[in-house]
Amino acid sequence: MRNFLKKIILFNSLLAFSFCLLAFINYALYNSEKVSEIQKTSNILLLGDSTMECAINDTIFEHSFNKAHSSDSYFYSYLKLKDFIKSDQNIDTVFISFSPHNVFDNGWLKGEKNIYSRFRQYYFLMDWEDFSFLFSKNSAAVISSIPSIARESIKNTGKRLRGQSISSIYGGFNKLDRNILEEVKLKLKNGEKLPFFDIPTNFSISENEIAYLNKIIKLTKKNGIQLYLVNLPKRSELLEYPKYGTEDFYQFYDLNYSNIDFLDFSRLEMLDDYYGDFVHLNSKGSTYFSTMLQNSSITTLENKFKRKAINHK
Amino acid sequence: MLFNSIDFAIFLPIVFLAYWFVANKNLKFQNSLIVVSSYVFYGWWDWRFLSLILFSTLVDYSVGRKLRNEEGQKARKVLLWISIVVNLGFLGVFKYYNFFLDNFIAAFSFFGMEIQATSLNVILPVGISFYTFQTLSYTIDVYKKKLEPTTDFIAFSAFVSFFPQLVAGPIERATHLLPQFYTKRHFDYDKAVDGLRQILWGLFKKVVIADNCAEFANLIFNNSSDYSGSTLVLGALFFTFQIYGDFSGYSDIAIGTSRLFGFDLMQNFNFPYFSRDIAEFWRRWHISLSTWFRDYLYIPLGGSRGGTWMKIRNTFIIFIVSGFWHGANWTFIIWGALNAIYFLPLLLTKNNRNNLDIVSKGRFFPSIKDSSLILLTFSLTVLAWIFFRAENIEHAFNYISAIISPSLFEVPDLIGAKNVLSTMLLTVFLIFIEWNGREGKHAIEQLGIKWKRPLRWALYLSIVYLIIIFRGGQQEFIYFQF
Repeated sequence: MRNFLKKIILFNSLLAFSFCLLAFINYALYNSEKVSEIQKTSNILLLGDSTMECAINDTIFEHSFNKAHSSDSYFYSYLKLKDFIKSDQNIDTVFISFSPHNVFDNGWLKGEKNIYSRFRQYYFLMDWEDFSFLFSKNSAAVISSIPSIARESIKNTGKRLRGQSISSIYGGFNKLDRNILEEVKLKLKNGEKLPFFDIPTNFSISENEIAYLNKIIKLTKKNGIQLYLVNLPKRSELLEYPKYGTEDFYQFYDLNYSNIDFLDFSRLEMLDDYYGDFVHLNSKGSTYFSTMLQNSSITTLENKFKRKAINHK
Repeated sequence: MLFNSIDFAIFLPIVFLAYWFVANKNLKFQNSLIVVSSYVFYGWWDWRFLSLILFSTLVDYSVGRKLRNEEGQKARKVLLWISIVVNLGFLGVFKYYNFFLDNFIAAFSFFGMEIQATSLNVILPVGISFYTFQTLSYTIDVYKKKLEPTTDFIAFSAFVSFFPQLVAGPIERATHLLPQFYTKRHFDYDKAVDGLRQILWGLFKKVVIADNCAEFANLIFNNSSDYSGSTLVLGALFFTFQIYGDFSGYSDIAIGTSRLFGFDLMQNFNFPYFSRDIAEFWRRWHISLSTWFRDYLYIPLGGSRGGTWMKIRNTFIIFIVSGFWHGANWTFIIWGALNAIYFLPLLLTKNNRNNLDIVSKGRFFPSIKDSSLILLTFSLTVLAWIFFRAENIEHAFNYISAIISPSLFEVPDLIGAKNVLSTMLLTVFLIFIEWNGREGKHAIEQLGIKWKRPLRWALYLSIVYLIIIFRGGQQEFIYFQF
């Protein structure tokens, strides 16, 4: 028995060692690419979910750098922000998506699938506090996603050997070619599940999201970075849909975050043709929207789109 | 608790250490720990259904005790029927009630009579078809005086609920497994190491082969009207390897886990896709169920003795009941009947016991004759699996008729899709390893056994990494639904 246990421990140590080696390789690959990827002329960092990912083309909106990613919880946006601040001193402005589905309970942080697909990519950006936060929310999902770190590392090594970039997994502008507006309108009318977008199931504020939104606010303040909460263009059918919680969302902002600048583009008039669905701009839409941002000064944007908080009392 | 879950990865070492370091003092401790861990293992899924296992255990234990002192044939028969009614009653209520009800309603409606009935809104308790058959085997063997009834309730409870094989077999015979609970187990290094090797290979089959094949099999079967004939063939092949990887993988993990605790379970799969005829296939596929039906149904019915019609009747009964055991759906019944049709010509021409040996024993390449027979048997099996996997009979027939079309000769639609090629290559790897290890009790029993340790461990590490890199989306074991 002693011999058996000794060998089991030895084998597992070997496995753990090889695992740590792969995890380190993954970290090194990420770091080496990130340094060359950052454009030193960029000073605006774009973070958030797929609405940001699809809306702003950073080759049109100069000096911006889109690192938003579909279903990115504020937790992951915070990790990216922290890392970019550490390695790039040029960033002086951050745009981060801010919509009802970002603050109402969306399950993005603790969802099993989300943890499985993201933990393996972001583990080395987490400090102990971040890790224990995530672990406390869904420990089983965190543990079961650990083996996928090795898989990710091997995959990334393969990509690098073939001369491909690995940075896209951490976000970037997504040129969307779909237009399913009519389909989603019909689905919304019939109360069916929408493709590519989940309407919040309840309007309780997600404490997980808010905790990390607050951390983002604190971090930007500490580093003298101007933070803009950004509500990207959305279809009126959705904004007026009671279950989307638009009014509750504005009230939530007014009561809690009125001291943070909020650019609300949600009701920006745009052609039907510019939408991929209710919340995502397609390539035509992103070109139009990015050009508009490029041609407007920040003062113009603030004058036209900045929300003025209402006193709900 | 699933074998391929993190819960089990934590549960197993804890139980293992407690078993060999805390409960190793005496037999009662060992058996008690097995009962407690088995109930935790099952209760992890749904603790409410533990009552069914407990009730089944109590009934069969009591019936066994009564049979011990009862000599009157009539009274013994009554006791046997109590056990049969209770165990099959569970199955009837939880598994078949709604099926019979729906068919009765449909039959009455066919004759113009509309009847109202309420169907049961119950979930099927995991493993019910397995443990009820296992306890039944005990009562029947005691009734037939093949087995001395037990007076050790803890040992009997451990036999019924033994967690490695509780939810998906192998369905053990009381004559084989129960006596193993009567003697204190001592740690056997070689047995434990072989058990770990079998677990590793079982995990590969489940997590890599079955779960990846499942993705494409589900996609193709769920949208079969959208695909070409060649893609449908590919879908049937994916399902063929999914069900094999899933179920034989489970059995490998179950047998390997049992060996860690000093138990020997019966072999449940013996490389069935290398069979040269259907009779051989059924001697190698889900052996514990086939032999159960053989011993407790086919032979009591008269087996292959008697006239031709008797043989035909018995063959159809055993295959149809076996199909029905898998699920309350006509597709399973047709699947069983189809296998009976495959099997009958062999039985009637007395060729059903032609291939009892290991195919191409001692050689790597099979002869042309063996290759042709294996390919023919495999093709028949794939055809039958279409019925097994289809949603209903109409779906199965539509699926088959869509295969027989000019599009059968087109390049399959999914051939360029992400992960299809890697899944196919991994399946070829599975076939290669299984072929190479077909003379052993499991595929990697002898693989690298004589290699030096660094090389052997490199092999194990490679399999671990194959599992990590190519793991498919986690799926439940197919046989849990049976």
